[in-house]
Amino acid sequence: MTKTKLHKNGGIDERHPHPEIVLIGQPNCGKSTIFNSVAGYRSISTNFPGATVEYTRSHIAIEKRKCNIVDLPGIYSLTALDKAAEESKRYLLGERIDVLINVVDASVLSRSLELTLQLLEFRIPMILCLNMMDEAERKGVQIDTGALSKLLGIPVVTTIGSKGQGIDLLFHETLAAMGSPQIAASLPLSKHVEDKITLIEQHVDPEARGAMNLNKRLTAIKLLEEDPLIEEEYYSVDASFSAELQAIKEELTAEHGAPPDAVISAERHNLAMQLFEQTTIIKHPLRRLKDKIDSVLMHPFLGYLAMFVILYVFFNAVFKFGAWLEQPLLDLINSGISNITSGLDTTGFTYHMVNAAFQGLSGGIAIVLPYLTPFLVGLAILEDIGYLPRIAFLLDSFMHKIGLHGTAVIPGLLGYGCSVPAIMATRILTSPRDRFIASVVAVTIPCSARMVVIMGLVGYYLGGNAVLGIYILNLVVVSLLGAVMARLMPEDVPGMILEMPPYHRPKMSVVLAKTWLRMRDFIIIAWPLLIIGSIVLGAAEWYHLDHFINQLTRPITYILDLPSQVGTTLIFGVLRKELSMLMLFQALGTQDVISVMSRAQILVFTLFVVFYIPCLATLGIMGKEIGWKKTGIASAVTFVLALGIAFLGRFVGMIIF
Amino acid sequence: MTLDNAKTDQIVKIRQIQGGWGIRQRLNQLGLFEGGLVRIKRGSALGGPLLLEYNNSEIAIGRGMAAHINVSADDKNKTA
Repeated sequence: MTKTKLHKNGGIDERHPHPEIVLIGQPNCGKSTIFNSVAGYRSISTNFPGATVEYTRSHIAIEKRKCNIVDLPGIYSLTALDKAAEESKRYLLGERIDVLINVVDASVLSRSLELTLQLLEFRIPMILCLNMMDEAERKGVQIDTGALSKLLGIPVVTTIGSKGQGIDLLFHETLAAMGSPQIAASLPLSKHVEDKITLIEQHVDPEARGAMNLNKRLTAIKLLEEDPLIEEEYYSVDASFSAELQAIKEELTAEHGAPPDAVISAERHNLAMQLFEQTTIIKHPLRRLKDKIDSVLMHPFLGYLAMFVILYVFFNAVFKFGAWLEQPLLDLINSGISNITSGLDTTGFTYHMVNAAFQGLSGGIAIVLPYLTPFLVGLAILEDIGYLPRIAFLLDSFMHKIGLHGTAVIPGLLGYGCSVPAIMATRILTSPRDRFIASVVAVTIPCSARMVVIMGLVGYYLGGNAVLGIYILNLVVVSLLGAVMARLMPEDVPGMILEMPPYHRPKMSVVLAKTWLRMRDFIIIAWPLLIIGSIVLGAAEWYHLDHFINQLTRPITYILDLPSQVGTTLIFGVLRKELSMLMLFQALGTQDVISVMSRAQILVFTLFVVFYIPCLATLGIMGKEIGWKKTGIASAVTFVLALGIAFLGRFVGMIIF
Repeated sequence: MTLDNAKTDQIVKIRQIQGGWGIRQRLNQLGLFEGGLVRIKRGSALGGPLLLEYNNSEIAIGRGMAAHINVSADDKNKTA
């Protein structure tokens, strides 16, 4: 029933009965927040532009009708200048879309309309969602939505995504738009340009390359704009037309005194400004708290001071909280384990195996969670407030010294959480060389798994100052590494352009949902791995197989003056970084590491774990994002680096302890 | 003058964007066009980036990027 009805009304393909709803808009306009409000928290939302770098798809039901909804990375325009935007563009060109929801930050309507005008060219049913209406109100922006809807020829809905306001109406309208056969016409540019577009249109046939949403007009515009993705992949101009196209472009350049892409951008800009002026009044903005906060947080001197204080308090809180919970939890679990295993013969195989499994379990509960949870909560809060772009601003000139620019700070900061999203985040950088350097930098930064090792071993046995020391040492090494790589691959750094979002009050439910989304990975993947790893190692020990592995890794442990048993743990550490510490307990046969290893050895072990080869998941994503050859180079570099630093640490340890 | 030399709180008009397709497209995407007015919210300190305010949004722009933009002082306008 539903199927035929949809087919009649909206021309929906019967083989794919569920309509495809796609959210698209400029970066940081709240697409993910709207997506999450209907799909459950699945797409990480933050308060900085470029948080979503790959699309997220989910099945939902709107008014009992099953649909698929897609959250695309933000794009400023249809000209993709970085990899995240390219992902969106490919999706828009090549995937089935039944309705587009163009999400717009209503407080920056004029700029956003430039994208809206381009999206209209797809001739796909579309809804304009004016989001962040509360922010617009604060800025004194008043929009006549009725007039805007009339001028654009599409429905306009206002929402406040963060509060869930207007979402029901938005999706109600979305369903309605899908059924309606009317599609808004694209708004014409000046006659000069339109004439050129018509000329080119006569020669193009966009069916050729399987970009199903590419129509004649859009192809013509993109060819005029010299869009590289279209030129290289989706449409090849045949030889007979090539010269003519060139002549058309030159004619336009001569008429306007600017290259065709600049002419089109400027005209679209003017069109957007006209729409904006016809529909929007700007009243006096409310006194902005933001400016006051920024005058401190972005101050050329106070800003840095504030940054150090904020980061110091953040890490200190994580460390204190974790350390406070670690011991009681360990005691609790260990007493539980001894109760369970009390009936077993302590010299038998069963006891050995059960004990190994519980060691893995207890490590996860008592050591990883106490540090990981507060860290992820803190990171989510900093992200949602909108502090990350401020750090990028402050560190821009420093980043230039290491051959990158401020935008690269964002993958770096995310690297403190997990290397995998950090590598994905390098998609917001425009050059492949920047992405490579930023990826290596991101994996060298201690992720939260390595933070657990640092805090659980060095913090626990050597104290908080030693933790701080390791983080500072790491920053120095990372900077030098970046600087060296930049010298080896000299390239003109184009520089940062980054939008500074207003501050938002973080919402606890979102912070917790985000923390859970990130932690789920640890619980679902790492925990079972940890328990299995413990059992495998326990069995290996029982049959004395671990000696073999430890012999293989002996050169490393010998150089670093570590007990040979830690060899196996370093191998496990490649699977997941926190395993290296948790397996250490299993390998040493005690959770009281200090009874087996000296303070210097603990330091050396931790230093090695912090710097050596990225974990398996990271290697996988690096291979995909920057290529296997570069991933291989990065692994080799980090391994040598780790060996060198840990070796030096050995002598530092001898002096200090 | 170029944008990187503009001072804090100055309002300038963009005269010309120097550079090729890539730089032009990047700046246009963020709403920076020839003829547009921009307020310098924070000038470049110690070679750091500038903070620009225009069209109700704030954009941080690296000093090197700003050097590609020719501007002239525009004292008649109070807002950008």
